[in-house]
Amino acid sequence: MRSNVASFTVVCVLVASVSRVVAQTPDLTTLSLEELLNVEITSVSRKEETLLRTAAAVYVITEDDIRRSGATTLPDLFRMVPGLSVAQLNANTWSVTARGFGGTHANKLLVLIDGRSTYAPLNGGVNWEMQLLPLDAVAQVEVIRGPGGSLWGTNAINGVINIITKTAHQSPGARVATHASRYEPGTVDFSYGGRFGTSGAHVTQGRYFQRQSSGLTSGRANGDDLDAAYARTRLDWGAQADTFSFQADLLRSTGSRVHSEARLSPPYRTVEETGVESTAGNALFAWKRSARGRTESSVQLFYSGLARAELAERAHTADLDVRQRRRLGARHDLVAGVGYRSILGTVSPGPSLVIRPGRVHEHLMTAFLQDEVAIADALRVSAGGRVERSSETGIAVQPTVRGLWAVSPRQSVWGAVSRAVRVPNRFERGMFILLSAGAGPAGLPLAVTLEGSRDTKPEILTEYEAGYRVLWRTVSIDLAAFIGAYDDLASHTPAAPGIGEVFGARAFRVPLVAANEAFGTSRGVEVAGAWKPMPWWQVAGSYSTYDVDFGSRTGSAAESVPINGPVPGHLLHLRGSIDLTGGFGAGALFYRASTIEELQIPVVNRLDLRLTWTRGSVVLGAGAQNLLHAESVEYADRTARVLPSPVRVNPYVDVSWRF
Amino acid sequence: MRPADRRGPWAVCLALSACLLGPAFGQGWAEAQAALNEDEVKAAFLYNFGKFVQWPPSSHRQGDIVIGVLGSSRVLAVLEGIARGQQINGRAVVVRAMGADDDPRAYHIVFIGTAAARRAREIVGRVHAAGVLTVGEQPDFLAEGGLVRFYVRDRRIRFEIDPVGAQRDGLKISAQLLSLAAR
Repeated sequence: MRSNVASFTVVCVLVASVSRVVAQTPDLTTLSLEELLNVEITSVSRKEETLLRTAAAVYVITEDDIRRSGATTLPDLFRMVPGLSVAQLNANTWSVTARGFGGTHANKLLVLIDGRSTYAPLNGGVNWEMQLLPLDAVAQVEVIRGPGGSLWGTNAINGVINIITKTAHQSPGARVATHASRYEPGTVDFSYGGRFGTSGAHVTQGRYFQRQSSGLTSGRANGDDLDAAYARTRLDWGAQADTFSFQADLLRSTGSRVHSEARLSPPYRTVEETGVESTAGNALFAWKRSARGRTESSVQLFYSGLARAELAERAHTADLDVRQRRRLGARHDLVAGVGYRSILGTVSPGPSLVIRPGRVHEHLMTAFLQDEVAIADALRVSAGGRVERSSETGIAVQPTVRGLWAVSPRQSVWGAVSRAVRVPNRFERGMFILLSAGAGPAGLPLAVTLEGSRDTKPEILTEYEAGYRVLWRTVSIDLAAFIGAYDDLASHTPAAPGIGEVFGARAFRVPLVAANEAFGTSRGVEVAGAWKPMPWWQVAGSYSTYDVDFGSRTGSAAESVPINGPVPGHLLHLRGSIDLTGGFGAGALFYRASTIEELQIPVVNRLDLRLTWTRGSVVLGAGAQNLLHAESVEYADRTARVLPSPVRVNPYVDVSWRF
Repeated sequence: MRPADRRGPWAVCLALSACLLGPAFGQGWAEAQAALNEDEVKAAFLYNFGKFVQWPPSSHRQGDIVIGVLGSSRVLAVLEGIARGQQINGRAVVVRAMGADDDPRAYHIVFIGTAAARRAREIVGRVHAAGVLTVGEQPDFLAEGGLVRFYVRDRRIRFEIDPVGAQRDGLKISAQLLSLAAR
């Protein structure tokens, strides 16, 4: 540990000494109007301003943050977000969650790309290996911690990640970029955009990459490679009152993953490498109408199709969302919407995993309303709620009340009480999994099975949040605290054992049945700060704590185990970047996650360094990720189905050219 | 994995990088652009507007050029830095944070940032015909009676002006500024 601190200090000193030779910011008074019109702006720094008036724990990653991070995957980019716990299991599997409940299928965080849900209908999580949007296409990412269900819908129970891509107008010209690292030896990105008609713009982007196996701790090769091609196109057109947008993308990836599978015959457990093969496509159309600032309406339609080799999964989702924002008088700001979603999913039985029924067609209808009232100039209260009816899981109601007091133009205090719901996914309702096996009585194998139940209920969270924000010249500080009461948490309840058939063989069966016998209380504090002492130098950091207690209604400790896994109790991140003279720039990110005792995961200290050189339209970058540890295991899947691989030092170089 | 397998993609990347860089070196470096953020550029524009606008003669506003900012403490901070000790045509430039109760007619230029967008209509209504250059950034700002609106296009800050409204309010905007505004 001491050596880690020492090396981090050395880096800081280095960065500080290099920073003596810095870029000169032009004297703003001497710039002519023509020169000002030609200045390419680096960031949309409206964010702190807008955040100061938001009654929620929100963090925004800007285009500038993305560029400086050097991240190539969305999960790596999210490491800078306060209170978000990001852990890599292997080269193509991550656990990303806010406020607890981690895991490869972390299911309490809703991730949207331009309003399209990336929620996997089968397991309720996000298949991160399939989210291959090039980060250069992202305009900004809003991360809302805490319940967002009343505005965003079911499963936004612990947070929402809202990824907003650049419009075609924001992506003109051609860009080619390559990235080569120890684990991703060849990544190529391209983008080409232009205009059409009087107001239209188009952009087409593509990416190809290979990610190599990272290797298990034991030295045995872990088949977790990934080879993927991704293409997207986006069109934006329309005049000021009516704007239209259409985008479509296509993904094809192949790779492998190592699973630990239980078997009914000795040695009762095998390690198997299975192919991860996915094909996915999405199309989204959005129409926005704004009428003189009083009303804004939008209609959004999307389709998502997905085919995965694992369990021969197929899913088709079609979604329609209509919403309107209307200012009533000087005080009311009303948002209302209705939506319909149809999800058709099919899945085939695997060797130790079956989901019944194999085919489900779910219809989801939803309506929401929120009114923000300006009680006084500095005091605003919003109240609203969402009602959702699913043909599979029934009705869910998610209300919220939020208040914000602008103490001064640069300080605000907010508070919120919300109820959010997560509906059971198809695993919880119909899984049959051979969890572990061994020698049993009467010569029969003993089979511990995990079984879904049609009786599982939605998980319910009632959360109390409060926050404070202050903006003082070049410093901004954001503080949030929460207490969450979870009820009807998904748990595994032992049922009566007996002799029965398990995957075609007679066995002494010990079933663990999905139920809602667990409850829990979570609490935590998240502090984030940013400081821009000089126009060429910025520093940001955050620290968050998280703690949760679980209990069981039946009083049995074994039943109090929620299905999703634990997260680190303490997260720390520090980030700094400087713009040097001659087009050079440097950045460092330090990330520390405390130990997860339940999973025997030690403290993770991670340091990423990056150096860039910009000349005209060319940017050269070089750096290294995961310094400080030769190798570290960041997370483990509690069901031990996906075997973790250590994350190792990953040096890289990248080049991008815009023309 | 055999080493031979690894070399392939690296070589591809190197070759591609060389192809990409070659033309860039060949055509010579473009002038490195100054990196400024949105608020710095807006603040610089606001300062510059003072040079290109003539206000109607009005007794209470002789002397200093007073710029009021609300809804953006960043623009305010940058503008305070720019204007400190500066003079335009022999008049000192004074920058103030505009409070909720301030009379907007006491200012020469009023900038209404996004965070105060909901007050834009009210302020524009209060300064009507009082010779105040109102600058905003919400899409319908000109439609609501504002005179200048900032917007972002192709990663650059652009602005549009309502020349008829300016004339109505007694402001004389130089032809140079008008020619640079988008139509």
